Amino acid sequence: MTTEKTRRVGVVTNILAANDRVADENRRLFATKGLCVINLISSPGAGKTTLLEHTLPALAQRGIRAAVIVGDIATTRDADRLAVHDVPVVQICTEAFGGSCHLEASTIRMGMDQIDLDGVDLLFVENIGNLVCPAEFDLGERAKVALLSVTEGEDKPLKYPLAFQESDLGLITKIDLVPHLDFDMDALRENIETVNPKLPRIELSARRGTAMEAWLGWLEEQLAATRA
Amino acid sequence: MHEAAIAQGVIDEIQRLHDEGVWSGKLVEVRLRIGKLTAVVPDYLAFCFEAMTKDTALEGVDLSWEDVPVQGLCHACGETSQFDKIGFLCLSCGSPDVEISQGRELLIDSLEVSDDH
Repeated sequence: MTTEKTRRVGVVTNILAANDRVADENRRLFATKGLCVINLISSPGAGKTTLLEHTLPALAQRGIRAAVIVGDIATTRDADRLAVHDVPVVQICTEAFGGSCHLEASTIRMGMDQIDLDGVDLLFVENIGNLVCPAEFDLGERAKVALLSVTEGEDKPLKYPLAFQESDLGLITKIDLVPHLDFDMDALRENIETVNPKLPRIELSARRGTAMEAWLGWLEEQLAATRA
Repeated sequence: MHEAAIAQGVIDEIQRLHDEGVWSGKLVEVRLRIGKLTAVVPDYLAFCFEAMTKDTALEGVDLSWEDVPVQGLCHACGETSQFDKIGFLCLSCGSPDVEISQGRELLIDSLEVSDDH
């Protein structure tokens, strides 16, 4: 086929270097501001917004000022649900950016520009409902939290290992529904341990308030560590 | 399905490396290293790359890749295990204290360039 003489140029560069550079800039900005950023990752419907609906008032009671950047492919429904809690909420609809399935570091920066970061202690990023792609993109966050609802079945961690491998906390949500389901909690725990034996876990129900103290305590630890 | 974003990353990096003088001439092939523990399907990536470079200076550039197997270093016994399925317990001593040391790569390894005449 080709007879032209070619030469090989070794480069070894990260394909996502552009994203990672912006993520590093975000991280530096967050550090300067003492801002703790938590990236919530799950399938659609695992309960990210409901968790935040119950988390935001509890944080306000503790004197912690929160804000939310929420990503969806379309609609502002999640932002509308969260805005009633009187915290800054920025909705990012990725339709405008090509209907992407994940948030990137640069999209977070655009969202940040709409928030007075000096008035915020804890910034939640509610990623787009998707257990695959968001795990691949560094946003400059302090921690990733993978949510998994009991209605999704025990085998999700095995099917979507990267999200659980990359996360700093696993939240098992909607545990109030367990009595109504054919669901094996031990099997789920075992599957999470198979994928990431070191992943701390909290099993909670935001709607019933079960184990919310543990979740809030974890957030306070993250905030304290950010400012240490 | 975020392979389009990854393909755009490949294109952006190629451009940046060109702007920085790392390569010049006519680009023939891009070789990647893709870890097995990434959420990337290389065939989709190649498809996206081809579609996104059509009618650009990069049209016709071949995209090839080498799969990088998943390895983990055990902090308990110091051995390195290679994993071919999910479940990252040390294959020597069974400890869960295993740090993934390889398999998360998403790299451009090298470029095959011919000199323009």
